[in-house]
Amino acid sequence: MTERYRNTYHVAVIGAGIGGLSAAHTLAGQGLDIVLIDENPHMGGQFLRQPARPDQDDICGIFLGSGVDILHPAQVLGIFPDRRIWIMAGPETGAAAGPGTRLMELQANILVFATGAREQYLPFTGWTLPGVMSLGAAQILMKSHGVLPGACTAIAGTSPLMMALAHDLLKNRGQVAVLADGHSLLWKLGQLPFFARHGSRLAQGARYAARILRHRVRVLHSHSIQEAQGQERVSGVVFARTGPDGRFLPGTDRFHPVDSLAVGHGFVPNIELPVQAGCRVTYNPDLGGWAAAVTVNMETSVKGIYAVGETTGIGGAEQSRIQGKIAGMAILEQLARIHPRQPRWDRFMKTRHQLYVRADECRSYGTLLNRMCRVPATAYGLIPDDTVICRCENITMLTIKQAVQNGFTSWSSLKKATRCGMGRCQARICGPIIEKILQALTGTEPETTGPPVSRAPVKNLPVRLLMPPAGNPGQVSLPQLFEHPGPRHSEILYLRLSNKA
Amino acid sequence: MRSSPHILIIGGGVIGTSIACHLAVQGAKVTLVEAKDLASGSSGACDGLVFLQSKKPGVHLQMAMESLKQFTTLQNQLPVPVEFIQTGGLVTIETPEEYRIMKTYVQDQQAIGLDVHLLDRDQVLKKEPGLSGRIMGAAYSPLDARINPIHLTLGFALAARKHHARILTRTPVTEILVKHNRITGVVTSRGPIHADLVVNAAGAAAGKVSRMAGIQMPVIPRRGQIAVTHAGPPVLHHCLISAGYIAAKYNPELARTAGQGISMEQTETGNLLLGSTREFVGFDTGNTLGAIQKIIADAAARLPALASFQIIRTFAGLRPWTPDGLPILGPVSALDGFVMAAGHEGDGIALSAVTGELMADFLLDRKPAINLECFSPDRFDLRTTDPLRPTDPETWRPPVQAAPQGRIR
Amino acid sequence: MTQNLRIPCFARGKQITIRVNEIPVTAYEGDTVHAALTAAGIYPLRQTGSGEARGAFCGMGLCYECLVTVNHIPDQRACMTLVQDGMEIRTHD
Repeated sequence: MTERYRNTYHVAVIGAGIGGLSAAHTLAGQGLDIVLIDENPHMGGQFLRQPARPDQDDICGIFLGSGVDILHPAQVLGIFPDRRIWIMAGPETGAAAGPGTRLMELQANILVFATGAREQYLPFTGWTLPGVMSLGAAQILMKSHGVLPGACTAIAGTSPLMMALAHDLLKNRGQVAVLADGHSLLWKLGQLPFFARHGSRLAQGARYAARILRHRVRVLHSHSIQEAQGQERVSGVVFARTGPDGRFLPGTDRFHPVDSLAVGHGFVPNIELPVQAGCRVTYNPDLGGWAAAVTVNMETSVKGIYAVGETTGIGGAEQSRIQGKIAGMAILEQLARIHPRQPRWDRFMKTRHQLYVRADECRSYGTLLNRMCRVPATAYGLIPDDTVICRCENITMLTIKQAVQNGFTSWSSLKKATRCGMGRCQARICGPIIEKILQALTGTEPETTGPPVSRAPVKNLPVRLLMPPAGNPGQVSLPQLFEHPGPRHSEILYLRLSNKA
Repeated sequence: MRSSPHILIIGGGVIGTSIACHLAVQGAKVTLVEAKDLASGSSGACDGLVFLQSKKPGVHLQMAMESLKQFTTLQNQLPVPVEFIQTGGLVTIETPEEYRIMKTYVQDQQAIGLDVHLLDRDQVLKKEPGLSGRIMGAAYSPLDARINPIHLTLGFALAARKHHARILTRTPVTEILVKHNRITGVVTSRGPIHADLVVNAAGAAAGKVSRMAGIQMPVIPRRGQIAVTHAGPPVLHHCLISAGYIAAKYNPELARTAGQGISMEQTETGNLLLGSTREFVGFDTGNTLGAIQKIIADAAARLPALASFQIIRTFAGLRPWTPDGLPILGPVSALDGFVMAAGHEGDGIALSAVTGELMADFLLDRKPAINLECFSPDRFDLRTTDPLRPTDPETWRPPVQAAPQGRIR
Repeated sequence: MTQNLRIPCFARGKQITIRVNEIPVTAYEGDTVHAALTAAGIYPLRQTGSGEARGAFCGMGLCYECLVTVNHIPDQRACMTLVQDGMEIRTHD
C-alpha cells in the first residue's frame, strides 16, 4: 500500500545530475531540510558517470552532515497540487535484500527540477533491432560498467556525442567500424568560427578527432543510415550519402558488417514533471525543443518552482552546474537564509552576477550545440513507409502518413487516430520525432499545437504496489526505512545522511 | 422549413460526429465545428463500455438496445475498425445488500425482455477466473459489449466527410448569431458560418455553448478519472462494473456509503482501462492522487491478476451530467433553430449511434423511431429556482455533496 | 558472439553469479542487468506482440525496450536494475 507517512521539506531537488547536485550543494549547510531524489541506479546523471562500484558512491559523501536527505533510487511519479510529490522508492526487484519498493508522498515548499535530457533520433529501417542503441546507452555501458557496446560498432547521427563515443571506444580497445556523420565536412568546418568563444570545447573536439584519425577509423560525412540489417540482432548497417535535404543519393549505399550500432541526433529536455507542476514550457529548436521557461534566477512560471540544467534547454554540463548554483542562491534568498544585512551579502551578489554572465555564455554554447545536432527538416518526411516510428505500439510511418492525409495533423489527434505515443514510454522516444514528421509533412510548427501533456505516473507504476502486501507484514514507516542499514549498495534504499542535531 | 437547410453541429465528440454522419449519409447539408480535435473531449477520455444493464429500464434502456443493434451493422460500414465486441458484461455483487438491490433491478430488466440473469460466485469465477473469490455473485448479460470510443468518433467523422459533410477542427465557436429570435449562424475563429439549424453537441461544454445563445441549459461537467495499464495478456474477458457503480450513477446517497464503484475492461490491444470517479469539479480535467490510488487499489482487489500489470498513464474526462440523468435531445422552443443533443453523462458512447439516428430524423423533419418528448430541453423549467437546476456549470455542486464528508464510516 | 566485451583494468565490484534463462552468467556488483547481459553477449531481451526481438535502446530508463523478468517479477527495465548475487533473469517473457 501507499506509504501514508508524509514528510515535508523546505526544498526538494529532483534529479541528481550536475544541475541537481549543484543546486543541492549550494543549499546544503544552511539549516534547510532538503531532499535530493534520483531514479538512476547510480547517481550523478549522464555527465558524472563513473565506474559503478558499490563502495564508491562519492556523491552521497558530499552531503554528509549537511541537512540533505538522499532518496535513491527513487522515481518521482507525479507532482500534485500543494507540491505533493508522489514517489516510487527503491528498486522494484530489491525486495530480497531491503524492505522493498514502496510508494510514498513528500511535500516540499520549493521544488527544483533537474530532470535532464534524453536523446532524439531520426528513425530508419531496422532501428528496432537488438544491438541498435542510443549513443548514451553505449556511453553508459562503457563509462559506468566497463562493458563495450559490441565487438564492432558503427556510430551514426548528427550528435557531438558521436566523437566522444568513438574516442572512448577506441581508448578502451573497442573497434569502431564506421563513424557516419549526417553533416558535410564543409558545413562542420563552417561552424568552427562560432566556437571561437568556446576554446576548451574545441580543444576537446580536437583531442577526439586526433584519436579517431590515429586509429584510421572510416569517417563518412554527409552519410546517414539507410537500413540496419539482422535477424535477432543487428549484423550490419547500410550507409548512403545524403543530399542537403536528407534524401539518399542513389548508388551511394554501402553495407558494413557490425554487431552494434549507436545512434543519436541530438537531445530534448525532459519536461514531463515541470509540465505536471503547471510550469510554462516554450518551443525553441535552439533549446532542443520544448523546454521549461525560466527567469534569470531559474524560477519557472510557477513561484517557488525552479528548473535547472537541460530541463531549461540543452546546454551541456557546465550550464547545469551554473544554473544549479544560481537556483540554489535564489532559493537561499527567497527563504531569507541570506539577506542584505549580512556581511556576506556583497560577495553573494558579486558571485551571482558572475554566474549570470557564465550562464549566458553557456546558453550561447547550447544554441551552437543544438544547431550542430540538427537534421534537415525534410528528412523526417522522407522516412520509409515500413519504418517503425512508435516503438512501443509498433506504429509505422505509413500509418502516420495515412492519418495525416485523413486530416489528423496535430500531435494529439494523430495519437488518437493511430495510437502512436500511447505505449509504455508515453511518447518519450517518438514524441519529438512525430513533431518533426508533422512539421515536414504539413508545415505545422510544434508550438501551434501546444506542448505535450503529462500526467502521473510519468514512469510505469506496478499495480502490485497498491495492493495489500501478501501475508501482510505491516507497513514500514519512513523513519524505519531510513534507519535500515545498507551494507551493500544494492540494498541501500534510502540514505539518511543529515544529522539534524 | 426550407427544402435543404444548412445544419451546423457544434462539437466533434461521439454525439456530434454521429449526428453529422447520419445526416450526411442522407444527403443533408452539414458542417461540424470542433474547438480542438475530434474526440478531444470526453469521447477521447472515457472507457468503451456499452452496458445495457446499467441503463434505467424504460426509454433509456430502449435507446441503448437500439444503439447496440446499430453498432453491429456500423462496424462494417464505418471506415475505421471500431473494435465492437459483445463480450458480455458482469455487474459484480459484493455484499448481501447489493445482492438484494440487484435482484429487483434484474427482475425489472427481465420484465421488459432484457437478456440478463444473476450468477452465483462459482458461476462468475468460471466465466472470469481472474476475479477475486470475495465476489458474491454478479448480474450477467451476454448483450453487454465494448467498443473503441475514439475509433467510433473518428469513424463517424470520416464517414460523414465521405458523404460531403464539412468538418472543421480547431475551430472554436465564439458567438451564436440570432435574429428575431431565430438562429442565423455562428461566428467561429475562421469567420462567420451561416446556418438554419444549430445543434449543440458540445458534451460537457453544452451549458457554455447554450449560454452563448442566451439559453440556460443544466449540463454540468462530472469528472471521471481513469487509469490505463500496459498491454498485457488477457486477464479479463468481459466488461465489468461493480454494483456500487450503478448505485453511484443513480443514487448519490448510496454512492456515499458504498463508494463510487469500479469499472474495468480489457481493450483489443490488451490495455486495461480502470475507472472511475464521478466528481463535480467544474471543468478541471486533472487527475488527483487519491483517486488514482483508489481506482487502482479497488480494481486490483477485485481482479488480483492485475498484480503483474503496470499503470502507464491516467486521464480524466468530463461527462455531461443532467439533473434527471437523461440526455437533452431536441429543439429549444425559446429559440428557433437551436437544437440540443447533449447531456448523456456516461452513456454517450453507448447511445451515440441511436442519438445520431434519432436526431437526424428529427432534423430532416421525419418522425423519429423513438419519441423524443421525454428528452426535450423544455422539460427544465428555466424560471424556477429549483436547487437541482444548475446555473453556472463552473461552480455548481449538487446539494447532496454538500453533506459533510466522512460522516459515514 | 563469445568475445569478452568487458574492458580490462576496469575497477569493478565483487564478482557474483546471476542466472539468465537458467544459465549461470558472471557479473559484478554495481552492474546493471543491461550491462551484465551485454557483457555476456545477450542482446535480444524481449519480444513484441508480433514476435519481433527488441533489446536495450535508450539505456537510461525511458524507452522500456529492455524489459526482462527479474526474480519472477515481470517487465523490469534491465538498464535500471542492479544485479544481485543469485538473481534470476528471464528474457523473452
